[in-house]
Amino acid sequence: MSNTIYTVTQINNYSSQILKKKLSNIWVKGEISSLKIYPSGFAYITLRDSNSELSCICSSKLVNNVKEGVSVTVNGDISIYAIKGNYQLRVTSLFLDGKGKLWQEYIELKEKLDKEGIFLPTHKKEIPAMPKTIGILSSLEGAVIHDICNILKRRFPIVNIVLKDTKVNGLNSVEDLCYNFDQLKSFEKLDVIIIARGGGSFEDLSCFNSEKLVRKIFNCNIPVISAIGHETDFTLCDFVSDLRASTPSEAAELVTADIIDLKQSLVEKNDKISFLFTNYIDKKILLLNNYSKIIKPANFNHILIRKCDEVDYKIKELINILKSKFYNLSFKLQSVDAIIKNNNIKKIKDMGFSIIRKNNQIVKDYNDLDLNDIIQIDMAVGNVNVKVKDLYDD
Amino acid sequence: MMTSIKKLSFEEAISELDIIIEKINNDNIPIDDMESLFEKALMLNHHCKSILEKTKGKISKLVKENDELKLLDID
Repeated sequence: MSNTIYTVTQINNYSSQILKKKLSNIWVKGEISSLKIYPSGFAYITLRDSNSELSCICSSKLVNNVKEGVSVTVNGDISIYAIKGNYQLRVTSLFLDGKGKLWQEYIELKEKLDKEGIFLPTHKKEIPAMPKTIGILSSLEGAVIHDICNILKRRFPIVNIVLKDTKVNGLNSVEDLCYNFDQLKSFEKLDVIIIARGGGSFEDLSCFNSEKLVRKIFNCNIPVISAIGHETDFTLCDFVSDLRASTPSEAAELVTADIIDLKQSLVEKNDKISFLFTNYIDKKILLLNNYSKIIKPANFNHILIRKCDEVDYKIKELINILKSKFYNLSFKLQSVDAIIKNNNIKKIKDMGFSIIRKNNQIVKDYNDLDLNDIIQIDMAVGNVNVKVKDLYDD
Repeated sequence: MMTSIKKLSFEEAISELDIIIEKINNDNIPIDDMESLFEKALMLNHHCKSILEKTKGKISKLVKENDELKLLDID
């Protein structure tokens, strides 16, 4: 035992946690020794046997047909009423012992299926967040189906609803439920199926404790939501379904998003997109401004002047190179002119030289001539034709 | 771009929109990419809004006639 000193509240809360862990979903059998129903909707029961008493609290709906002195079996969780420090059983299901056989079958089947692992959370399929088409298996007579449809159309008017009529209590109800469930699940476009029924007695709801129907739901590829009876009614279909709604109306709310919320969410998303984009552009402008500060005008002028000087220098250098090339070329031209002048044929002829041609071709070598060839001598003044009389080397 | 967006379901469009919002939350995106993402996000948002405002779901009853399942509109 530790030396910790608890406050009264602490020890009551601590005890409550322990009891919730150890004594939840328990079954208790006893006789009702007192029953008080309050306008708040709660009923207070005292259960007793030959030696002891147990305080219980439940919804007043559970005890509609119950009187003091009857034997009952109840299901619920032990909890502590922290203000008083009293413990009590919070009853979620209540069965008169008169219908013991049906209840016994329910308990035995539940245990059997539980051992098989059929109710394990690992088998639960995810319910789509925004189904396009919802299948509803229910009686099309009565308020339940209208309530579900009204809520679905109000909350999510874009959804398609496929209704399948079925018996939900009485003779052949199990066979009818299974037959219509098979037809509904074979309709390929369904995203989710709701099995719905309004409140009723344990016997009324007993078709939803059928092993055949439980196994059909377990083997169904489409997610199934059970919405059978009231919050306090638990059928085996509730345990095997992928989601349990406490009432048919709650099923309609659980399976759809509210269009008003969706529209609001779109407005918020639109605002966020605009904000993020504007923010992005603002940051880029800020970045540009920072660059402008780095490139100050003074620095820029300095850089520009330096670059201009460099360009001027290059231009001068280029001009010098061009000038030099021009002078060289000019000199060469003068030399050529001189050569041409110096080699002027007229001048050469004036100096006494003549040009010899044979058949209008200038002759430079005596080997190109034969004896008696007629050749033309082109002199400074006039031409003569002469015959070759002799040929010899210098 | 708008043609391909129009083919998306509401759930697909809103999912894509959320991905884009996540992307444009990043300052390192090149400005050209940012512009096209911004444009696409607005189109997706408009498409979602349009689905919510224009689509009207049907209520039908599933019946079996001559061994064939049929949907009868009961709206």
